[in-house]
Amino acid sequence: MNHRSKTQTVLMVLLGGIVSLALLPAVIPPGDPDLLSLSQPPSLKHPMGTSPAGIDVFRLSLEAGRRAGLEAVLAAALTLFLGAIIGGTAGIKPRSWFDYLQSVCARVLEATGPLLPTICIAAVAPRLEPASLGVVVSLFAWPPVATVVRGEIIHEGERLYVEAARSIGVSPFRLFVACYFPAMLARLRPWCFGLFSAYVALFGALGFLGVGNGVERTLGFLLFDSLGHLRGEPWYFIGLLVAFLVLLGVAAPFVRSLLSVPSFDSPDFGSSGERVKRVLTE
Amino acid sequence: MNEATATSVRWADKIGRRIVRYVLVLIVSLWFLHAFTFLLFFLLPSPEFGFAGWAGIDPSILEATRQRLGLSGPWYHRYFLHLGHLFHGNLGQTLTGYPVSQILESRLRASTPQWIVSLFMLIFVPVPLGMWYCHRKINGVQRFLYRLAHFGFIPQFLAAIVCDSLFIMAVAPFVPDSFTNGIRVGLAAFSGVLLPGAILFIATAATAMEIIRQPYVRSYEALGMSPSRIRLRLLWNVVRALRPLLGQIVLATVTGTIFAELLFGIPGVGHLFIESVRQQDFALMQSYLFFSGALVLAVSFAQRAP
Amino acid sequence: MNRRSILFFLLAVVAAVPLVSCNRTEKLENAAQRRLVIAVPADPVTLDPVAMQEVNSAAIGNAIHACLIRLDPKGKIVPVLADAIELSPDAMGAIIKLHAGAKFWDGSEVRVEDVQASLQRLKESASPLKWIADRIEGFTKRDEHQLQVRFRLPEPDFVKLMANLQAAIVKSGSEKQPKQPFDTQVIGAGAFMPAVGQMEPGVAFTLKVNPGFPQQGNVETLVFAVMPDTQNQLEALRAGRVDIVRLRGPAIAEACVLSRGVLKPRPVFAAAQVASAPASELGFAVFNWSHAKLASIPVDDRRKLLESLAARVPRQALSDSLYLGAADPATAIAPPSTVSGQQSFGNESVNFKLTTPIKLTLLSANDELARQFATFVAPSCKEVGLEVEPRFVEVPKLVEELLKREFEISTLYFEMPVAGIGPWTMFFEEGNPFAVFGEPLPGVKEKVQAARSLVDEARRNQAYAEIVSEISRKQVTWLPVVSRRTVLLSSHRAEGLFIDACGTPVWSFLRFHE
Repeated sequence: MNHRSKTQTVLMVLLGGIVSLALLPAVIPPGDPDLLSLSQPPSLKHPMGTSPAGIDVFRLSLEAGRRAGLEAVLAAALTLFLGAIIGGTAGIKPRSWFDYLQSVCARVLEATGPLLPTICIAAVAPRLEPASLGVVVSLFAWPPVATVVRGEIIHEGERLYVEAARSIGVSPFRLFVACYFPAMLARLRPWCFGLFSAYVALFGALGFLGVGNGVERTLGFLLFDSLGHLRGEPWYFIGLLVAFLVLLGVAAPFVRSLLSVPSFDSPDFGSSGERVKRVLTE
Repeated sequence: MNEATATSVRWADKIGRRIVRYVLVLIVSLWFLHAFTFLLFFLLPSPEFGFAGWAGIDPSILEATRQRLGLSGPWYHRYFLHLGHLFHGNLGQTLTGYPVSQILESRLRASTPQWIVSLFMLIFVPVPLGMWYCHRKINGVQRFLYRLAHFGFIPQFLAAIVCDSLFIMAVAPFVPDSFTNGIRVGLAAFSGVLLPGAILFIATAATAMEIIRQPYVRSYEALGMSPSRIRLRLLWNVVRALRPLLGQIVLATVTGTIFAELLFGIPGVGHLFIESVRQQDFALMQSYLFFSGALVLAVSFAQRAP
Repeated sequence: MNRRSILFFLLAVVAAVPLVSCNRTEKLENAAQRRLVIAVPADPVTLDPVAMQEVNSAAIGNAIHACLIRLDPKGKIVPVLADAIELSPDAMGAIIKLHAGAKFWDGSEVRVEDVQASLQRLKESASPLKWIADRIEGFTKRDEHQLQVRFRLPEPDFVKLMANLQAAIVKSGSEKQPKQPFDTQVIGAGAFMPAVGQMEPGVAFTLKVNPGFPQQGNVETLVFAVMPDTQNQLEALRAGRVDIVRLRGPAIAEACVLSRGVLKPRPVFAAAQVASAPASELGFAVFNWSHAKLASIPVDDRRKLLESLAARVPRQALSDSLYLGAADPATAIAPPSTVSGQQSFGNESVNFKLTTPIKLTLLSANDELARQFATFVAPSCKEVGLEVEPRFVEVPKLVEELLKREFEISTLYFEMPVAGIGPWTMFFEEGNPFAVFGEPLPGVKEKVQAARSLVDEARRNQAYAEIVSEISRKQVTWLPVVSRRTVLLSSHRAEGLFIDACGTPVWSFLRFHE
């Protein structure tokens, strides 16, 4: 086992351990306020100290991280699904009215991005449950996924074997299952990590701004709250910040690309950069 | 007409058609954007009591407030009225009675120093640094910088939080007061452009490393051009290749500005948007959404001829 | 030094220019112009005194509008626009003696007609505090500076009521002028006046001195800088860009430390000073029993539930940790500063718990203080079987849901702008607009009206205390928790900080320290 794969293994084990801790509330249950331990600095009993409300910051971070992860998974799944449906339909019938319509809608939605409209909606309709918020976000965030899927399906559709299959009368459904779907899946796999990370960040931003229902236990909101205690209880802020960065680190596709970055001298150098460019410019 | 003149005429004709197409497609897209923002706020439930406080209990005052804010009447009437007013620069009134355009203008002035610094940071840091990678061999510092840039992919609100807390705890108490304001603006700008800057740097570096391997570069080297001259020559090619990123860079900068202004207390347009969200001031929210979207659309159309 | 190095150096200089040029020597400018800057968290909603309902409007309102008199923290009368208000022995009338020479912002003199019009306007307004003037029957002008007021019922507290901002004197007829932003068409006679073109929402509200104000200070410009974030306010104070910051909740612990039981600024704010005074203010939880989730609890159990909860809420811990001692535990429906020692709840049901836990949403305002407060109340609720999940919304939305009765439990802070114990009963009077936040109890209104008519002050206060005690024992809507003190952090440049009997800072008496 060479040095790089050893490092990768160690990192993956660490990340896996953190993810498991966050996903298993039964192991470390969510914190209850301990009014005898308000604003305590880090100690053996409370490794990351306690918040001004007496809650153990470590448990608070785990619970908030777990919520963030689950919400991000739901929203990412919805976005991928919606983007795949729209992009797939547009790709199968390129240059049709639906294709042009989705193209214009995609341009408009890309111009505003998912964050600003979601802020507006979540602020005015604050009873949105996380699932509803995920739906709202995916309504504005499908364009990049749809563009990728559409491009891939058009590219795949131009292949000889697909044309041959069409000419011998293979049904569109079988064509989709056998040809388009695997191609789509291959292209969307890195998007899963990217979207997850993006949604962790987006929901964190929404929580930070205090919009959306149930924001009170989100990492973003807690971070915002902790800013008001920088001088009095700095551990509250630092603990939550570390938790957020770890959560992003778990999800970031670029950690993966860093782990697998080839030698700088090889012709493959720049693959992470190329990947970034490809992801962002499609 | 000689050949040179004919070429010039054809070129001018081509550019002219491009510009006309660009403007037409932009106008149509802006119309769609306006329709989208109008529909969004039309469908959202407008808060009643928030407009008039205790007086919101009085239906007549409520209706008068709605009329003042342009929120009464059938939807088509409201839509075309809003569109017509837009052409005259009338963006409606805020909850407190100020014209939206006046508020936006005054807040733009407050945002200007930060935007200037942001623009400077975005143009003069990532791109020249990325062009430094226009080399066949990469040294250790370049490798480190490239890897480090990946850590710029943190959420913008997080970047703003970190910069703000650093400013409050580690900078402001130790720096002479006459410099704190400038440093505050600089840090705010930095936090807003960290993500787009990281994207731009990595994309520039990757493109530069790709372009340097093109065959025609060999001919520059064979002609005895210095590496810095080659870099300068290739800069335009790199910038052209980065055009598809422009729209997203601008959007990322706009959203980064929101968090930076919120945390650093800069009363600019980003801060205004958050205030309007908290007060549920539809006119302001709608105007901000429309103009930020219009800016991104206008920039993103520059990436290729429509 | 080659050309490239020179180029990079020049680029660096160009980059630094915007940073350095962003600096303004604000401290020097402030000193030269005798300008004081006060940080406020949000824009005002209106600057019409009759329509003011929230603290941000009142903060600026207290600078640009003036009442006839003010009350200091000990209840002593401080003349402002009136030299004196003489009450008749039977409290059926009063004579207001106006200060000669007091002027409005536009330079016109304050006349008795303006006083009459202002009080009449308050009486006929939609304001929930219009009861301040509802006993006025008529006016008689005695001379250019004396106005006789007749009451339809005895009004022995008339003098105190005139210290309220809602009773500020405005120029007669100015409210009918075309509407201006923030209702600045309503012309006042305060120590300061809005500077034309310098009222920038979200940025700053600049006020210039009103030369016609009777008690002239040496402050020429007063600026209310809008800074929603407490850390920005504190940083601005430290850097000298702001002179006065009002500290609420967590901001107190952020800016101050307790030294031998006294609040002192942290070393980083060593140049600042702390001013603190009792306030007529109450933080409480309110239960909406008409909501479907709470309606299932039997009526007899509601009082027991409140008693059990009251015994568990850690009021002292809240006061010590959240407010650093700048708050007092509250156990009655009026603040401790008005009813010391009064207990709402007994000890019979301290162990009461619901047999089936109920999941509820605890609605609260989305500011640091309210969030912290709600977080303290939530665990106690859990102990009695109410599994509350806090939900924080902006104030407009909070008011909307409260008025529509769409909430289950809510935590609120209320600052009473009128001094005394009596006003706190309005949350329990039938027909009073404030009863939406409380519980209309039969008979309270009549008793309050009777107590209000008692001429003897001691008997009147005793009557009010008895009413409050009775309400406290009967009501099942409020869980009083804590009453905050007003805490101000100010730079050495600001002198003459005046906090009135309600704990409201009145900026009219500010002085600039030379």
